[in-house]
Amino acid sequence: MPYDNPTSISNGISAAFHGTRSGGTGSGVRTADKIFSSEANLDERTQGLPSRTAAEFRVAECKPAVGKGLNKSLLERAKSIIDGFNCDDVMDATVNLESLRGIVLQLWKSATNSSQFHQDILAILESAIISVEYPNKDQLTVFREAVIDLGNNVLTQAHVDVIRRRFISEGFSPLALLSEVEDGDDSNS
Amino acid sequence: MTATHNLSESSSRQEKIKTVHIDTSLQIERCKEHRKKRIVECALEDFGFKSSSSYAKFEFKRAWLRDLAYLYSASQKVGRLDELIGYINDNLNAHPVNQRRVSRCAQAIVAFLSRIPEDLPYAAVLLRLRIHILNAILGAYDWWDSSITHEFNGTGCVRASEKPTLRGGKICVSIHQCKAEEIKCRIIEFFENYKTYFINIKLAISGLEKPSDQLVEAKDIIENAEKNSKYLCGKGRCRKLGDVLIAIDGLKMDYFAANNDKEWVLLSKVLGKKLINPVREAKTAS
Repeated sequence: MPYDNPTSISNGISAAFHGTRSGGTGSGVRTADKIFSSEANLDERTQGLPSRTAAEFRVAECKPAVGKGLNKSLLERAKSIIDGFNCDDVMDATVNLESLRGIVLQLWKSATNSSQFHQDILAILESAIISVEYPNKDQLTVFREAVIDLGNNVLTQAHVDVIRRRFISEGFSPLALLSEVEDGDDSNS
Repeated sequence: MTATHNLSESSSRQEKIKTVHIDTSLQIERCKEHRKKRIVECALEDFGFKSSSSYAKFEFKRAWLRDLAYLYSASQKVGRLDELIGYINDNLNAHPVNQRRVSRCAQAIVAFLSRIPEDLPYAAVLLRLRIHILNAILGAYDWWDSSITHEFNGTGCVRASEKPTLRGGKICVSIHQCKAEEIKCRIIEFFENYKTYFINIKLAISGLEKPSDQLVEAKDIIENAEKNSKYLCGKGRCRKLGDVLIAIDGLKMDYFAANNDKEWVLLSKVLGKKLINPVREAKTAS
């Protein structure tokens, strides 16, 4: 596993900045060239930031986004719940998970003033927390990594990409929160 | 230890691996929240090799991701969640062909509303919805790839290979129109190579007393393609063969896994596969 802990995630991000690939698998972060030079990718991040032009955004992309950040005390609370999580005690896990869900929801209040990258990671984390029944230790590690990232005032697209892949590799589906959507084909379209 | 012995040991180890080919319907179940997903995952647990088809991924994109992309685009045009519902109704509801899209959008919104505290401001509610949809779409292909061991790509479906992207603030879940005069995929070769199987499926459908509409459409397409395989291209004809293409793409697998018995019971029988439908089995058990 290329990103087993926050340190290795940082290494991955650092590698992305320096244009190298971290880890031995193809699921690592994208290279800096791909992340910061691609026209499409620069345009991507204009999303959700209607007051900024694409040109302004290019600057923001190259220089990682600095936002007001999320509510720090809620993040601290989330981190302490995750650290004290007892996976072996079903009752304890249920209560803690419900607390985490509540905290993450409350974080959306401060998310309106944060960067797009904070919002992306918050959504990825929330989707996982809502969709899981009882998280295992590896999944808790990813929760922790996401919460640590959310506590940073400065985030980049690389942070989002790494976290997204980490959650998927731990078995979380990014579509889980939309699970009430019925399946089936639309033959008329 | 001889090379022959190693080979024999390796072969016997391979024989123990159970293989399964998963249809779109069940892949969609697998990416749902834990209660729904668990039923399917438990049933697939014993399979060491899980495959799907690129054509199944195309259906997944067309049936689900495209509607979510529409919801995302609509959410950018309004300031509040209640306005979003009104916007979708005004723009889609008048057309009967859009009913499924309206239904999917409404259900996605309901899924979000069920988890919103009363004191969350309107702006935060809409932002939350928007960002969740964005990340769901952008992560969907990565999830798909990680959920299976192998993706068969017999048809070489170009439209399946186009990953959702975000450009200039718009999500692009493009599904280009195929043109008969500009064929980019391998569906004709695929049909010719496996013609016997297609014909056997057609004959089996003819023998059914009450085939599903989808099977009847598939039979008509196969009949026409037998005369001229180029008939498969253009006007979305290959879509009507969807399940048949996915099934034949997974011929090397031992089992089929699907959640639409109307089509897959017949396909499994004709192609000599065992069918598992964990969703149906769970419903029967309860």
